[in-house]
Amino acid sequence: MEKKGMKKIDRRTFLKYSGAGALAFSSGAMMNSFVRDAFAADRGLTIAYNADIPSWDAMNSVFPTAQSPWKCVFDQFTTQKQDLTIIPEIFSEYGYTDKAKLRFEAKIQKGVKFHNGDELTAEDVKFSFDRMKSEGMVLQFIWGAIEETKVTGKHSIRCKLSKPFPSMIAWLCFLGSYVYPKKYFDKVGLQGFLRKPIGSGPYSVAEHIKGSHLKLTAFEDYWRGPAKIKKSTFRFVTEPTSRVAEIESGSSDLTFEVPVEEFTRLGKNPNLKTVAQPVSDVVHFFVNDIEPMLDENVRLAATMAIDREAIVKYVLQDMGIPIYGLNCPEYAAYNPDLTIPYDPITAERLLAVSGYSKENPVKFTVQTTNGFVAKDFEVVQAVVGMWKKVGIDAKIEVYDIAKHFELRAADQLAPIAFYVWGNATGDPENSTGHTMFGPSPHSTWDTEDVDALIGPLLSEGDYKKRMQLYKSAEWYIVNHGMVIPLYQRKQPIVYKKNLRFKPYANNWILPYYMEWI
Amino acid sequence: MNLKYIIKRLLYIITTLFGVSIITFVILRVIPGNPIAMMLPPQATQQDIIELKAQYGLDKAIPIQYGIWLINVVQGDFGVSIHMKQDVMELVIERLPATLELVLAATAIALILGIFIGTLSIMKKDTFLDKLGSLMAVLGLAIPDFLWGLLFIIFFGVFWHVLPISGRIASTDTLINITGFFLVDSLIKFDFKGFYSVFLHLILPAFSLALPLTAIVIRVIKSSLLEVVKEDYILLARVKGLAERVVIFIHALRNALIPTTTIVGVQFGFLMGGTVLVEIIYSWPGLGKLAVTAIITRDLPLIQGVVLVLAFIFVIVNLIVDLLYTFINPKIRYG
Repeated sequence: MEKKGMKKIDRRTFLKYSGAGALAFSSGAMMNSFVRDAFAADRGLTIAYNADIPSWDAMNSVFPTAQSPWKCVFDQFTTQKQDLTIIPEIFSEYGYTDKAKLRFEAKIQKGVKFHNGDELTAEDVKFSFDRMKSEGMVLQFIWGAIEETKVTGKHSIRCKLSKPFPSMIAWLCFLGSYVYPKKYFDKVGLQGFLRKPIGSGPYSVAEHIKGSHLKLTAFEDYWRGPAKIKKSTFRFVTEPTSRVAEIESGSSDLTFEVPVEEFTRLGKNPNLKTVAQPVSDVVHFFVNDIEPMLDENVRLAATMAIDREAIVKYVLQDMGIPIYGLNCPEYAAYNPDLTIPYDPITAERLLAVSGYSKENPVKFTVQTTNGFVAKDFEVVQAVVGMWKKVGIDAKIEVYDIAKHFELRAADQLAPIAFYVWGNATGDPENSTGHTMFGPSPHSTWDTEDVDALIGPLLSEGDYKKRMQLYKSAEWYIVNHGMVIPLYQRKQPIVYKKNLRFKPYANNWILPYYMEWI
Repeated sequence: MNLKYIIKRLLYIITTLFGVSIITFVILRVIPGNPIAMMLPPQATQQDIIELKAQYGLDKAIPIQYGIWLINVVQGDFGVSIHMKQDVMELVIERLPATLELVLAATAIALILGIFIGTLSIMKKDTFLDKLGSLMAVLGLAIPDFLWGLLFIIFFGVFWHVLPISGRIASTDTLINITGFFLVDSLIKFDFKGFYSVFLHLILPAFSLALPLTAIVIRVIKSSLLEVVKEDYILLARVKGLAERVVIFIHALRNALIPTTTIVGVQFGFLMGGTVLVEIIYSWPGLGKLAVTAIITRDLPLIQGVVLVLAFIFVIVNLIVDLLYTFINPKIRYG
């Protein structure tokens, strides 16, 4: 019986709808199979990476995030192991050869070829050193210490320094220190090089679509032996949530810098592995030598009132390690004996000596970014809550990272400012040195006592003595509350379970050292 | 078409762009954050900062900086990006086709869906289909493009694995870049595999961007058609016994398209500047993503270049829309 209002389905209607349904189903199935084929095809290795490279002039940039893709294409003078230990790369042997440490000599690895087949020689090294210190280069002020580089043989060079440069060895594997092919660069010029970069690294550039991806092909003549993964792609996915989707959907094989909450969830996925790698990023509060921070009681109270363990456990969900100095365990001048007790009672007492209490709190502004690094704003909120309990009333001011840099360079930061200081070299000059030495544009605390401790170390040639003195300087700085260390960051990395992957303390993601198992 | 009118409009465009350039230039130099502070190596001294400022010409007074920049721009030199160390116009031109391809696809989807659903709603007034159309319009307007984007990524990429969720082409495919419009480039080279890959990559971002615009088109088409169907000539067409779909699609829709053209024209300009979030979510290498990088790094020449190009496209699209009126409705004349 036909229900009232219901349309009768005749043969023609049935056939029409059946045909449409079949067509929809078959095109859906066809599309699905096409897509599955596309996904199943051999992709080599795809990394969902958090930033594009700004340009192929790796030598003229201090952008730390781009080091991994650059290191795939270019070799450095030296390199680092996973734990930041410096080891040879293009320089097979190197060091100072005079007592004053003003003469640096290096032997160059033999049998190294550039991607175009040219042999890498001392001429290429000299060219790279000369270019790094030339006008217009962002690191000209650092490499300016090299007065002259001489080619002393096909595979050896000698540098004459105009002044002691104790951190030179560390800089040889740091930002901007790459070996370029002189002959090729001279032939094509800078613009030609930027369009078609050539290095001596384990991969050559197959395709780079800016803002989208970088495709790399293994360089079969690489001097350490060809990479096991022949094709690697860096896919530039700047949004953390999108990186999570990339790894979850199977579109990428590895990603990092994922949100903390997602990291825990992804760890439960049977197809994925996760690692929380401690990296060379130390999170701390810059302290400015302005009121009320000129009062040592206030500074020490501010540092003792912070429960670092609780912040790491509850705010960061264990994605960090509490830290009490400017150097983390991987750094050369790390001092494990340096600690700051969590002692709110003493903090309250110190504030009372200076006339402050919960009823009459000391007031200042604390500046922070919101979202520049994971949980930055939340950490500052938690700290402000802890301070409030002892008699510190801090007002949070949020700014973007560009403003932070501007204020820092002009020495106009608030009394307290949150920042993440990265030092991939592990050399204390690049942590304790430049964060605390007054004349540096990166320093916020500028007082003569600290400058007197650090200043001489910038030209101290004796490595052991230098490390010891940096430890002493750090001890003095922390125990006088001139900086407030918080925690060392852990890098959340997620990858396919059948990928063998080596995490680096300096945040490098290097396909050369990966393989499928 | 009136040539005098077009010349007058072109002069307006030059004035507008001049105004945009001044505003952008001044704002960028007044807001906090300077590019030199962001590129300082650890060992730089105050003297180094002064030297770097001089190297980038940032040590001069703002009017002088603007004058130098304007003279260079008139000669086609937009400067060099501070962060990327490349010619600004080269960078912008490289990214422009990706954004244009996305916006054109989104506009086409919005027009097709919007006109179809809007017209269907009028033909099936007060039925379930009409209500469904209204619901779609409300949802399209209520949910912003980036949220559509995230939802699509979760469902089509993560749960069902049916569509790619980032970039313009699969890692396995390589296209020869001719025009920068990947769909066009793949067709020129008869690379159908590449075309298919590009097409699949375009679906989700284009739909994310298109849905809010679709909602606008549905509303405009519906209200315009409601007005038009009351006209005498529509009554005449019905009296003549023409089928309803002929009356609506052939006779009514043409006039109803005039306000739609205006809306779509204006929205096209907004879409060009509004792709930022969708481009970031889908890792789409377009102008929006470039603009964000430029702003974060305070890359002043690059921001100026991107803004000027977007402003240029906006005013040109508006001119084209105005000229299209005369084509759609010959009764309209400009003097």
